[in-house]
Amino acid sequence: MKKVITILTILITSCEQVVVVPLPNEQNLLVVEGWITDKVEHQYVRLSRSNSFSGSINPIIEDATVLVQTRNGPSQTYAYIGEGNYLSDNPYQAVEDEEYRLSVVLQNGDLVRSTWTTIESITEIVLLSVDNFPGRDQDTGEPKTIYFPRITARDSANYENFYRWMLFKNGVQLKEPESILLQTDRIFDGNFIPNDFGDYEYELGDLMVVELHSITKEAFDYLSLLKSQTSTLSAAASTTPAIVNGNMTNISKPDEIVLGFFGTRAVSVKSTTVR
Amino acid sequence: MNRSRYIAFLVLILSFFNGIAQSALDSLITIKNGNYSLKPTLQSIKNSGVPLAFSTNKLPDAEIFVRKGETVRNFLERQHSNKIISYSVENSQILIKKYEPRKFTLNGRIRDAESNEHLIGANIQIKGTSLGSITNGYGYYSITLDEGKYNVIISHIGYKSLRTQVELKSNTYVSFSVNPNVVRLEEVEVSSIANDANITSNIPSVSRLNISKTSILTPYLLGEVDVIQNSLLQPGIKAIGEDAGGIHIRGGRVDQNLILLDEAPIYNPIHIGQVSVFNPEAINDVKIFKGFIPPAHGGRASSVIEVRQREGNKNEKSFSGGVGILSARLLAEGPIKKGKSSFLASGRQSLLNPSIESFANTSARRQRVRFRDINLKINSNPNERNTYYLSGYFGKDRNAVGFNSIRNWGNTTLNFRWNHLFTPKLFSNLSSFIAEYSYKVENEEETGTSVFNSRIVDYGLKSDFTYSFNPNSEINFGFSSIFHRLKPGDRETLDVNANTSIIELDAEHGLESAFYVSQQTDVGPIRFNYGFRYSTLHNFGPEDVLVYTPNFLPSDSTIIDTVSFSKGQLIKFYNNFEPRLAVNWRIGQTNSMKLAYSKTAQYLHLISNTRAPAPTDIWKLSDTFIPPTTTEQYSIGFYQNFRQNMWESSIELYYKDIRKEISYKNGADLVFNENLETELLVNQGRSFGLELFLKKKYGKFTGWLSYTLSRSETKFEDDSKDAFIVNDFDKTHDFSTTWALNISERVSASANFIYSTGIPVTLPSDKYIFENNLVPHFVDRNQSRLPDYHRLDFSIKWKAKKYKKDGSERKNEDFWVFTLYNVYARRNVNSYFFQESETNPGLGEIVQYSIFGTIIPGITYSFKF
Repeated sequence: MKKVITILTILITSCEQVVVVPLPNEQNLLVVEGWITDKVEHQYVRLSRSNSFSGSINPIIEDATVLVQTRNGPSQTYAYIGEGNYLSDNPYQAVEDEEYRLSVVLQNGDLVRSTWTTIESITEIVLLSVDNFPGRDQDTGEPKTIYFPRITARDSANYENFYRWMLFKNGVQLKEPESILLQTDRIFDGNFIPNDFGDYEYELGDLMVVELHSITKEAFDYLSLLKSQTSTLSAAASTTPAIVNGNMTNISKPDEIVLGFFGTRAVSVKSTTVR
Repeated sequence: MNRSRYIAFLVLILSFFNGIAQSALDSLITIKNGNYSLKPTLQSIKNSGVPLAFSTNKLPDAEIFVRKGETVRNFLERQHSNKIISYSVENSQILIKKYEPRKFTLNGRIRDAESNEHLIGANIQIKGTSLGSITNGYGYYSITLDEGKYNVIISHIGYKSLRTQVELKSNTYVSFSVNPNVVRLEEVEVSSIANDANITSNIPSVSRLNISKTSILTPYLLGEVDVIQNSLLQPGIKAIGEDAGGIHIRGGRVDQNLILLDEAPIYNPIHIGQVSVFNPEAINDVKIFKGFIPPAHGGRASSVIEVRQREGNKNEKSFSGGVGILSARLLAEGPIKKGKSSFLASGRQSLLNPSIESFANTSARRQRVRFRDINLKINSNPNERNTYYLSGYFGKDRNAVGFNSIRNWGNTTLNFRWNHLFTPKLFSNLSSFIAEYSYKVENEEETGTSVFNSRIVDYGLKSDFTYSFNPNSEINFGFSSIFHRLKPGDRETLDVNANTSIIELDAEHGLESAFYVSQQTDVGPIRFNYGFRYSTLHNFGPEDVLVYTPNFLPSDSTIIDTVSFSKGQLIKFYNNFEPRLAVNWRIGQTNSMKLAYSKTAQYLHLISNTRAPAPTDIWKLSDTFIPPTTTEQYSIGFYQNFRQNMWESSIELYYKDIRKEISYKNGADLVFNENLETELLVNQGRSFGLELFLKKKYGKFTGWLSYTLSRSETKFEDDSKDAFIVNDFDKTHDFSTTWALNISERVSASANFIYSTGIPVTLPSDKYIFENNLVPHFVDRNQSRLPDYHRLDFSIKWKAKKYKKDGSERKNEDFWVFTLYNVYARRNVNSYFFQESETNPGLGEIVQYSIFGTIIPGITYSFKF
């Protein structure tokens, strides 16, 4: 039996459009962002406030007193330098076997503190090499060679490590396709750290910088949650919306949520120019 | 003397005396031929040494004819058939009583006359009485009646009624064959079985989809007909969105539906979007138990969806199939041994990429999807007492997501069943099955190339018995035992340079067993169905179980020890007593009221922290840390039919209390997690609602209206507010209506319209910047809703000419279906994205996402020859 079967061409157009929806009242919560590294340098802390989702640019906090305390050593004081950022007065580094805590006193007298945190030992990038494959220009569709970094680094065995990658092109962090790149050694403990950054495109002449951060489990959990709440929200396959809880507490008003995270990172950096 | 010996002795003595009485029945009458009075005749027979026992004042004053030389048995039989006396042999005596009709059982099967396929849910009615029966899942019926002649009416939706006469002089096995009313085409109609089954059935809240037998067609997107899709037009059944496959029944979660294909569980019923794994061509019957769960079923907290595959035609070979935009399908069936055994084999293959996401404009969301189904069934009915079935389903999906990840998954079931008739009143079904759901993810991402495997395998044995006392009473009992073997995950690496390690998570082993007893009985106008199910779960080693600090929630920081269990060692035992009760009060001929209570327990949980389940979610057995979920549901309904059952209507209310539902902490890490208990939360859920249904079943114009007012919510135990929060899939109002019109013999049209409240959405109050990422901050969960959803679909079916140009009848049948989905091109909102504005960095914007932005036409072509 033979039949000619014609199939109508169908046009399915899914659509996205920006809408205005009435939102719950803004909370104006304190947001803390700060890391100390294992390098002797001026460390930073950024303080701002959340505001209405559809509102203007976030307000920043210029008049807080910022201090990083250590269990066994001196405290480090910070000074405001603008755009919400505070820099440590002196260059210093986070060292193993020491604990650090951020303390912030706001203008209204509220004391806001992080939990105590330690720093993980560094995992070094042994080698950064440039790999390439024939691809196409995203805008024009013209064939072109796409360059990307390939990293050799070895995980330390029998220890649970948490990693974060940062890729920079000519001094700017690459945020596409993902801005927060996280890895645990659950699947490669003690081996070379697998990596494939083929989706992060470089061209000839670009300055390629790759950072490998060794972070604590708490920092990893915080960044994972942050990532899930910023990248995939709302489709059927996405996670349910949640508050991104960090490690900050308002000691004076324990019921008030403080957003953000203060942590440590041991940073290994390699750079090269794509040739 | 111990008790069993005593009983054996008693039986021996009784049979000895019985033997005496039996031989006395064969002795000969010595009285001369002639007419005599009954009582003196009996007395003189007794005097001749025959052990008759009777009390004269209870016997009628009748004149009887005596024939010399006939046996006592013949003599008594004649008096019985003249309706004068009855007799029975008890102990050593022959008891003579006033005439009483004897009871016999009429049993057998009801079949499709063309294909010999057994019909499920067909109605057998004794004319002029309210007595009747409905065939069970194997087409078997049994009805016990007084001896005599009866006019019997056999009816079934989509078949011509059969009227016939049956004389019942002994237990009688009769199989009836009924002729289909219409040409079998793969359409789905949701209907009740017999004309007034909605009133008479004592199981409330059952949605039944009769496939291939009717005139209403409700094809879905792109012209496909789908059972899961069609069930959504019923009250109480919902899906979260057009891209989400799982269904929520009366506020239950997607993993709380027990989905059975020929009695074997299907763990993932969805291919993609809302396209189910059930190829409509190979499916015969779908029953959804929303309220009362019969005690024969258990293991899930919310509902039972029973899907039965078709049986092959036992009389002649035939082929059918079709091609649409989405898929192509072909089915072959025919006799193996004519009239006795048959086979059916069908296959379905996706054609165009059916993924909604394939049209997404960002490549990261783009998917390439393929699926395939194979259904097989062999059945053999060598004699009246035995039927054997072998059925199998083999599904396969392949789904490429984004750039570098390929997911393969599929269900496989293989099932052997044996129906056996011990006596006309005792029917049994023995079923053994293997069911597997597995998936494999091949990843080639920046973290290394790898293959991830996960599977759940069930080995099951199940036995059900039905014993019919009389037309008004029946007992069901049986047991089931399923051995679950879960391999949550192992990971191999394909990348030679990656040096990644092979990981294997501990397998889980559990034996889920149950036995049940229930009785259906009529007391006046009230029909009771009551019983219980007792279910257990044994969790076995080998497994390493962590020990956490007592009185603290399991977390990485509270681990204090590990206990190793060896192979076969019992780790944890759970049991649940599950009472079930349904009461149907027949108020009048055309209406009834039903009450039901069901308790159900669930020992398997789908681990998923996304809004809708993904094929790569894993299942987990209840264990030391994860308790079983239990549900208690109370429901009440009123059912009224009008105009000789042309219209049926119902109103139902339900309340469901769900205990120990499993959910996950925010940002839970569920992948490769050996200690899942550290990521979970145990909640309490509840749901309640009102369901209205009105349906027109016959005529040129048929269809129904369905409305649900409901709420489904959860109380999170970690939530300090201690308040119920509405669930992601909750829809306050849910209205759907579907109508079909037979325009001519060759043309029919149908339309459906759906309206529902938008699903809940959590809106951000604030936004903030962390490391140049704009982060939305959410306050209260599910406090707002998406805009309301509504949609109109339209379809038209065009049958090819029945006759050739020369006037002769064509052997083949074929037809076209044209569909329009979303006729008025509404951009229904599927979800909101909260993201950073591209034009104004640092500012947040809300993007509404609609899956379909326009009207979507579709076409399918189907044939049979």
